[in-house]
Amino acid sequence: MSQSYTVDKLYEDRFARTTQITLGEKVLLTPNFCTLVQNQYEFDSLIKLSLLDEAKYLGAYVIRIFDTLNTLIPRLQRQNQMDISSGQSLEELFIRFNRTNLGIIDPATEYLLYEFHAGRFLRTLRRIRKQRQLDVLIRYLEERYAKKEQLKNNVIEYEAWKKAAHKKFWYNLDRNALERGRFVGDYLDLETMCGSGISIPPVPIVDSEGMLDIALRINRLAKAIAPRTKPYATYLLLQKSVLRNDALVDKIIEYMKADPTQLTIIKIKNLDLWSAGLVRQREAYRKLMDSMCEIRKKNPSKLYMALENWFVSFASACYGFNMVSTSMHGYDRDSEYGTNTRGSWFDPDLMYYVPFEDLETIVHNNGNRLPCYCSICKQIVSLENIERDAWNMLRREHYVLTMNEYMRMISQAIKEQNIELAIDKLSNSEVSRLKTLIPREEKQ
Amino acid sequence: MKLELPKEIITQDELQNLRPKDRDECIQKLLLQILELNNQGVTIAELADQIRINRNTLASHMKTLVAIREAYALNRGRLSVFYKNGKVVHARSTEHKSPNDRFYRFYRLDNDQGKFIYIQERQLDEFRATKVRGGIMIEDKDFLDFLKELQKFGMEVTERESKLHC
Repeated sequence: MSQSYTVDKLYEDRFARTTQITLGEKVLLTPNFCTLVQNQYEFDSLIKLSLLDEAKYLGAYVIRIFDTLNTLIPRLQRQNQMDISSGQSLEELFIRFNRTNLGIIDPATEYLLYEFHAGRFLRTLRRIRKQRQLDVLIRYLEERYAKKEQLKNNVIEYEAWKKAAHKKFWYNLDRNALERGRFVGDYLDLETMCGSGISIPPVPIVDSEGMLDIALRINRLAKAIAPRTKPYATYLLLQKSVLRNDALVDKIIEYMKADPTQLTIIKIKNLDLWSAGLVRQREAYRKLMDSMCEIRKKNPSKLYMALENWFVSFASACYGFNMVSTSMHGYDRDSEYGTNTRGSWFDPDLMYYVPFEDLETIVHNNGNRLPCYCSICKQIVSLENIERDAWNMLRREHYVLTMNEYMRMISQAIKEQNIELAIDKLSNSEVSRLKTLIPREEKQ
Repeated sequence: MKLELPKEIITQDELQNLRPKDRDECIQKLLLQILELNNQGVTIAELADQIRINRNTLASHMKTLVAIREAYALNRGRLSVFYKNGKVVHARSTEHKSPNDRFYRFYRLDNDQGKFIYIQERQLDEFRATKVRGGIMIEDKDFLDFLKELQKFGMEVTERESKLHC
């Protein structure tokens, strides 16, 4: 029997709806917030947060494939070891967490082009692959590193070479059916080995029609060979420039309409829709979400998930997407956040960040407490003596609970047939431009 | 008879270039999709005619699907007609894991032949992927008797074991 989700509609208000997704013992309420976990500390935190009664809308987690080495794999290996004194598994908490939470492994193929995590990606692949799996990928990354070393004084030339090499890598893979078949099969095996609950194909990051065609072909191939004991998702990884290309957006919509897969995952890298001057991008994003609603009307079991959705998460969860995901600190641009300094705090009302330096005044004006009712912020009584690392973890936990609260608010608004409340919330925030992503009335 | 086929079928060239394990998965998935689309049942000859995969390959994969109870066959003379093994009415997800990574899933199926309890044996392979190893289908009306017999048998075995150890 192949694995698939059961989607039960709970409430509906015009274009928005809440559902309950069941996959075996895992039950997710949508809209749902899926936390992107990047290291073992964040993973520990998330497991701890999942025990809270209020965390009803945190049913899934996302881990990039190269982060699994420090997060998921050690736990999966330890879960069969027993504690002699208690007779329980060493990872009892994790086992319970994993039984009810859906683990999603992000293939993170964008780092074949982007620089930031590419080194970690290569090291992880070398360590976790079996036999000579993914040789073609490792050869490509090694060649890239050699070139980087060779051209370290000429960054512009290296960047141009890298773009061309990345394109060549995917086009060669597309031309060679044998290598493509092996690559996709090996990658899906690797995801399974890392503990993935869903098969997600390793697609190239799309910036042109040629790359989109390759991504669609890989999706089709992966769908045919993905293990049928596990659900499969269609995956589209897009550069933000795609939103300025109407032809590409239309092609993606056409594909989504024809695609029979139950779950579609979309990641738009470095998505920014809240800054000024991005009217066209916002329109394109809205068009994408319009089509999702339309498809879902015809086929209510369809599910959409947005990865690395940043500040757009709230609007996405209201309208087109069932599940949204951001990193635990809320920023989705590759950079070192909150490591050398006390990071910013996410203000639930402003829906934006407040620098740590400004918090003292806010706390002072708010009766010596942070203006938030989550169980993490309630614990914080003084900002003066708080350790840097402790603060950075608390602000992450606060962010996750805030997102959980947003999802609860959206669900409540839908239940009360008053989705306008969500639009009003966006209107009164620092990212008010995003309110145009949600229609007031249902599209006829 | 013309069969209804899925919209997207992998090309012959792509199929040939897959790893053997993926090729098996791909063919079995395709067969299950075709069985689902053709409720009236399909024969190997019809399949071989329309999806251009070797008749022996198809027969062996169909045999596997029947063995693991994803499909069932009705013999009409010398001809076997294959059907998808019913709609899952209820599935119990509690997976009892044993140290050798084997576990069982329980389904309740509904098909033309009646209602069944289907117990599927699964195992994790070296990549932690789940593989279906076998299964047994028990008709609804026989299920309680089956359980009683199973319990009786279990008791007999335990008694005998304990006597041997004494």
